[in-house]
Amino acid sequence: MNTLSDNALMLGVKAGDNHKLGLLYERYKKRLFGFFYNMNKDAYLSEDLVQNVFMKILKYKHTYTEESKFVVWIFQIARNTSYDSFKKNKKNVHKDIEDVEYSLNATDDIDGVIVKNENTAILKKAIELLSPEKKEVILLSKFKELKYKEIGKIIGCSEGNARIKVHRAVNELKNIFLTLDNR
Amino acid sequence: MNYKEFKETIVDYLSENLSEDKQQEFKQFLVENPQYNIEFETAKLFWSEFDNETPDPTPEMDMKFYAMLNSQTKSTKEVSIIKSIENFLFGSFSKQLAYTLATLAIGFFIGNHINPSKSFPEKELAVAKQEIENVRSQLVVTLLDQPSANKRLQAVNEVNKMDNVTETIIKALFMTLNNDENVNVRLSAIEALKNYTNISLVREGLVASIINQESPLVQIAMADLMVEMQEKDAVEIFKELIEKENINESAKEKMEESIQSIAI
Repeated sequence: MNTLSDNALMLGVKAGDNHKLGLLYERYKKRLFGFFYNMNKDAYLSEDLVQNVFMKILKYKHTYTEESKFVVWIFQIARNTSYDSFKKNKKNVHKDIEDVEYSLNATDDIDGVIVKNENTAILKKAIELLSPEKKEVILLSKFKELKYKEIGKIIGCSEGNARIKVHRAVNELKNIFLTLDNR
Repeated sequence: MNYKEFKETIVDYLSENLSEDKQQEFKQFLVENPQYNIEFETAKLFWSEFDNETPDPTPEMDMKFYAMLNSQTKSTKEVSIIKSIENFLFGSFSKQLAYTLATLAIGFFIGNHINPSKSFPEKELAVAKQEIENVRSQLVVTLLDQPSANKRLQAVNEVNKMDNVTETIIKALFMTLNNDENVNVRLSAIEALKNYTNISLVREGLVASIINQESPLVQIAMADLMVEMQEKDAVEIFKELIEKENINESAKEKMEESIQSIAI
C-alpha cells in the first residue's frame, strides 16, 4: 500500500533519509527500465541507466522542492540520462523516412515473415526506424500518470505542443509502417 | 462527434488524455459508426505493440541499486557507534533465534533417537521455551525500530506468535500504534494488542491512543475494538474526535455507531 506520496518520500530523501529512496526505486524501477529499454533495446545498458538515474537523484536531491512533481522530475532526469548515453555510445539508430527504402533493400526480408505475424513484424521494424525524439514522446505518453501537461514539462514545451508532438510521432510511425507494408 | 474529430482524438483517447465526457463521446461514435472500428483497432494495435515486448529487469539491478544506496548512505552519513552496535545486535538476534531453534530441533531429534522411551523433562522444555520467548521479545523490539515497514509488520507478527508479552513489548506496540507512519503497521499493532485487553494497562493505553489517530482506517478499527471491549471511557473520546475538522464521513458514522453500541 502506498501510504506515503512520492513527493513526501523524495522530501525525506532530501532531508537525509536515504532509505526512502528504496521505496521510490521499487515504485519506479520497472517504468524507468521499460522507458530505457524501448529507447535502446539493450537490457544490460538499460539497467545501468536506471542505476544512473537514482545516483543523480541523490546527487541533485537539493534541487527538489515541495512544489516539484516527482514523476515529472524523475523522467526529466531519465530523459537526460538517456540523452547522455545516446551521445556517449553514438548509437544513432534513427533513420529518416527517406532512408527506409535503402535500409530495406540492404537488410530486410519481410517476405520471409509468417503471414499472420507480418503486421506485427513490420510494426516492430517501423518502431525501430522511428527517431529517438518521436519514440520518446510516444513512450512517455504511454505512462498513465503522464498527461500532455506533464510530458510538456519533461520535454520542455507547452501542453499543446506536447500533444502535437505525440500526434506527429504516431503519424510518422504509421507512415513508416505503410512504407514498409507497401513493399 | 464527427469523423474528423474522431480521427484527431484517437491518440488522445489511447493516451488517456480525454476528459470523461469526451471519452464517452468517442465510444458512442464507435458504437454508432462501426465502419470505423477497423481504423480504431489498427491504431490500438500500434499503441499496444509499441512497448509490448519489454522484458523485466534482472535481480542484479536491485542488488546493484541497494549496494549503491548503502555505500552512498555510509559515505554521506556518519554512522554513530550506537547505531553500529544496534545493527550488529540486530544481526545477532536473527542468528541467535535461528541457532536456538536449530539447536532445539537437533537436540530433540537426537534425544528422541537415542532414548525414544524417555521424553524431555518438562522443566528443561520450559527453560528452552522461555529462552525462545526472550530472543523473540528482543527481536520484536529491534524490528519495530527498523525503517522498513515490512520489517515492522514482521515484528508485530512475531508478537502474535508469543505466549506471553512483556511490558517492554506492550510499550513498543503502543509506540508503534501512536507514531508509526504506515497505516498497515498501526492496524497490525491494534490486532496484536487486541489479544491482551485483559491487561488493564493495555485497555487504558488503547483508549488513550484513540485521540491520536488520524487515519480513518485506524479510527474505524478502534471503534470496532471499543465496542468489542465495551469500553465506556472511549465514548467521550470518540465524541471529541467526531467534533474535529476533516474527519472522514465513514469513520465519523462508525464512531457514532460505536458510541450507541457502547452506551447500550
